[in-house]
Amino acid sequence: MNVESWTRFHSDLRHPYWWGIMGLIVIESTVIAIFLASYFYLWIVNSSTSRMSWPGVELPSIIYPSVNIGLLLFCGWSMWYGGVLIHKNKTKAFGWLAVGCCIVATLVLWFRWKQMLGLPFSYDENAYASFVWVLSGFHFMHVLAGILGTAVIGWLSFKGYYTEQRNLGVQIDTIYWYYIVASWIPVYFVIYITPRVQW
Amino acid sequence: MNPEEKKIQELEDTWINPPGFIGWLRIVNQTNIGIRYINTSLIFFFMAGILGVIMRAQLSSPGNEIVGPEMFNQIFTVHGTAMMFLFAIPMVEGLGAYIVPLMIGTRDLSFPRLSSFSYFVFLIGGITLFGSLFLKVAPNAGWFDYVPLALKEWSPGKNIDVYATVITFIEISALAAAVELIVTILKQRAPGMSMARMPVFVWSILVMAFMIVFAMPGVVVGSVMLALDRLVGTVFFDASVGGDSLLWQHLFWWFGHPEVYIAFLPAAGVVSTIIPVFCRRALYGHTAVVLSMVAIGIISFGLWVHHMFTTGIPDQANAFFSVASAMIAIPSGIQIYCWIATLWTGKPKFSTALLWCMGFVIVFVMGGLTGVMVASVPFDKQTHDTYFVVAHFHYVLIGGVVFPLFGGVYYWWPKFTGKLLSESLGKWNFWLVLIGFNIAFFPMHLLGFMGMPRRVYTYLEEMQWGPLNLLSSIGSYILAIGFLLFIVNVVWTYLKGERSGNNPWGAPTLEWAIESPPRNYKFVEIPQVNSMNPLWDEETLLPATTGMRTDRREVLITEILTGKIQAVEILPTNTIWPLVLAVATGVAFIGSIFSPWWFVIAFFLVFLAITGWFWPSKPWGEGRDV
Amino acid sequence: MLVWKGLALIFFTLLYGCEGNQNFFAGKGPQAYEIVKLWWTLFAIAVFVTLTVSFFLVKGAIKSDRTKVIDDQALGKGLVYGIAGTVSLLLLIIFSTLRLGHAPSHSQDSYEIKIVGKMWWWQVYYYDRKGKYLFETANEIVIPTNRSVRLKLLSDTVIHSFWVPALAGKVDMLPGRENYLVLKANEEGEFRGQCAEFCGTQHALMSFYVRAMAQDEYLKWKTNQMKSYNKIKKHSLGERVFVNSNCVKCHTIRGLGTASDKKLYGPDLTHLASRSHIAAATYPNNKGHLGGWILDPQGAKPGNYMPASALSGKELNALLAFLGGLK
Repeated sequence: MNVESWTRFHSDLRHPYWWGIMGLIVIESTVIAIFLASYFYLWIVNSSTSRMSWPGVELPSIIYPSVNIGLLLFCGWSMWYGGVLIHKNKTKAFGWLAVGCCIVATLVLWFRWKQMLGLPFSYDENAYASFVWVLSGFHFMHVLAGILGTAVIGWLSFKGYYTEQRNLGVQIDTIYWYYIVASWIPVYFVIYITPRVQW
Repeated sequence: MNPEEKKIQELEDTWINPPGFIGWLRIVNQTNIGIRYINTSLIFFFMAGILGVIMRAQLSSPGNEIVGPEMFNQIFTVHGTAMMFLFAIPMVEGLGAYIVPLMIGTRDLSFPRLSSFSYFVFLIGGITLFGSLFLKVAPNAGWFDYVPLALKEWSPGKNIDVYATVITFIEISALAAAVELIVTILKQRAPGMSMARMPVFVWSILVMAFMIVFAMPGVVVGSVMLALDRLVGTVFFDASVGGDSLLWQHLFWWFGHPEVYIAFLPAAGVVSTIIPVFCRRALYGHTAVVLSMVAIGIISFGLWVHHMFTTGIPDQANAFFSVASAMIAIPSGIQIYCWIATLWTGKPKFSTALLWCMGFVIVFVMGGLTGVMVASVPFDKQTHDTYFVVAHFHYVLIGGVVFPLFGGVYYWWPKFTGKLLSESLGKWNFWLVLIGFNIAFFPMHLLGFMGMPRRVYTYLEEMQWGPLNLLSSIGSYILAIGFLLFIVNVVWTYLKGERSGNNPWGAPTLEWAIESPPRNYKFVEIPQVNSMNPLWDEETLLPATTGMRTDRREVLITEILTGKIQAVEILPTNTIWPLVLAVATGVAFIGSIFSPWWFVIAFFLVFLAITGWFWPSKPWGEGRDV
Repeated sequence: MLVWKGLALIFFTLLYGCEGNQNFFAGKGPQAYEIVKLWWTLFAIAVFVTLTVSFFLVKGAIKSDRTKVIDDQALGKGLVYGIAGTVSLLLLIIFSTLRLGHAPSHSQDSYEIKIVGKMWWWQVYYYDRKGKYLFETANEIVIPTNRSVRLKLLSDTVIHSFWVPALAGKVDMLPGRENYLVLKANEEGEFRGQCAEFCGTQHALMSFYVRAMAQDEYLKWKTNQMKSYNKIKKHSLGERVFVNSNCVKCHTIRGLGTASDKKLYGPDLTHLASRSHIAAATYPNNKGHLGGWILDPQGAKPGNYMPASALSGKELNALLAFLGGLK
């Protein structure tokens, strides 16, 4: 078998980086799953032993978090569309799309910043409060990482680095954006919705 | 030069390790990184072993004053933490990083810069832990660091912050290495090496890596919660405001139980490699052994509560974990039967490597049996947290992990260095360790019966624990001498050892097809593999894949199940960025011992380091970039 | 000859494992006794498996006759027997666990003794059968023989574990959780126990005694413990030393003074002289040891929370005489 003429430019699951980013996503998803399991564990322990009523604090407003879900979904869509553009070799258009995604994501961060400063409890008030602060904070960090990374990708695209042939970085960044968006949904559901439902 | 020689010279240049100290820091080649992991793990093993000897000296008689309680508590904590996090995991990952690419017929791991990064993070973690011991602020609440003792109220010093930091480093290092091993094994095997033809050792590393991916997040969540509770004041573990101290135990043991199988499975993989070679027949029951390893990997996630039988959990819950803990003996047993069957029908040659494997079987079986005993809830209620358990886990860990790893080191030493370790020194090494180990740890079963709890820095004379403790301590000194002989052997071999040639043992797997030690490019051409034991079934390797470039580092990508060739990919060459990122990571977590703001600062340093790492270097023509 | 000597040595070493005053083979309570029975079953299985595996391993390695062909199919049959054997042994272990390891426990709705794990001693509260609080003591738990006594185990510090091997298995004491243990002693005696969960600097010397006595003696003991200290006389020097130096800050003597430190206080001393040991079962309770302990607790148990007391010889003697009267 002679491979001299084969391209070295795959950006799908023939490239190890695709599997690498999947590995990272699996790890981080497991971390989130365990955080959420811990949340339910504490809820059950507190309820069954009547130690503390759960959540035991005034529930936070769901307006900002729900708006943020919409904005995050837009970010995810925009990166998907960016992938479409790159495959058509529209590198400058992709660059602008990346900029747009970063701006919307920054809006997400701003809303979350306002939301967290306005929470009716601080992180040391009780365990539920700790969960809300910590999970929101970690997701904030990941959105920020996404913005920084996408900004770099966008810049490189403006410079002409990403083409329809060479776009592995775009694929990886897009996949990770999908993850940033998708991972927020179960967290949102658990910390904002489940305490509101009468079980 | 003829074209063949010219090609090899180009390969040498492409794969060269840059000279000098800065050059050493920039190396990304897997054999170098693998050796670094193995050497560093062994150094930490010996350092943690010395701590064990100090503990034994302190406990050799009642009321001893070699170390006081504060120091003793730091010593036993560092002993356990170092053995589990700085020896067991990095050693098996390092052995995997070195051997797996050679065994599957590729030139490097899939993310060479990541390998370098995870090594440096591991090194920083290890230096932090032992550095803290020299500064007398080492973690002092046990390797499993239960809350609320580990919270700020009861441990106001920096000791536990050091603990949280060190295990964070190891988490990052181990997870990165695990992902890399999985991707390499799944996507970079030589053409024709289907999963069915993959060697058992590679299977064991694959299962281990998946276990790391799913188990480590437990301790990640726990250590994050602990660090936040201590650093900023969250209340995940405070029972008065909705937290729970048992939450830590669940999170820790979700990781902690699979962790011991993470260490054990590659060791079992080593045994499955060595026994067939020295019995000169293929492993009996290859499929059964592989399936058993996968079964152990999965079942091990269902055992963790057996560390918590005495915490007041309902009986039904205890019963489930009790039965599961007993059941895991079945796949372990299957492997043992297959090894004995291979021995029974082979023609054994008693090299030191084989001796380590035979010692492993007996010691590990004894440890496994005491394990089944403590799986029984009522029995565990007496023996939990006593020296009986200390005996149990040293039998399974030293017998089940250390013995095979030393066997593996003796076996692969010629591949690492091109020389053979002395067989006569090796036999002295083995027998002294085996005898010393049993004298040291067998009496501990009895001390458990006599009521001696764990983690005690001293005991009263009236307890009558003195004589057995003295016996155990003497055993530990013999054990230490036995291990010292290993170092003697290494030094002697360095000075006078005989050269080994490519394949001194006549082994069947691919790593023995290339030079000892291997050239950095390993294979001149990637071979085609048509059987499970390529070097036994073919006289020479089959016609290989041609057309790979020699002026940059390339590897073949193959399909996951069948091993059919799929693509060619380019790997990066030497670079300083992995070290830079490791240092940035170090700033984040060592800084967080003192203030959370360091984490924030380091977040941006990490971003800059990652950007530098991935920044494409010009020119951006076809194939120049990474 | 050497082999026999070696085996004899191993045998006597093993026998030594039955010695000691905290040995769980004593089996003086129903739960502990059942566990000892369970042990022998487990031990027999373990010896059998170890010998079998070792035999086949060594024989397989050293046997010289390798001409007889044992094909892999025959080995396969052997493997099946091996697996069947393993499964049977495991079932035997599980079955014997379920049958043997449990002692009948008497269900009682109320508990009689509440024990709180402190840094590095045991706080003990007694209640009557209706739940009415009776008195507080420390580090020594007295129970009547041949009657189940229910203990409630708590902690307001870190995790500890209550373990008296001669009578029962251990139960952890966790902050925020209530665990229970039923103790029953088959005979009179003094049974030593020790904390079995690492709890910090002085975990190693956090021990206690359970004393079992006949019912009528137990009632006498209980009645006596309920009495407070009687200080109708003019304050003796010993009393004054206790109240004026550090002691009363952490140690309550009912009728004389209450500990003022609300977090790191020490054991209740109202009936100190009725206890067989001091310092969480570290020393016998006599004048010499008590004096040494009071003068230098840090030398005896480095890192514990009791500070040294600077007392003159006269003051110390008076204090010891006073404490010796707290029967």
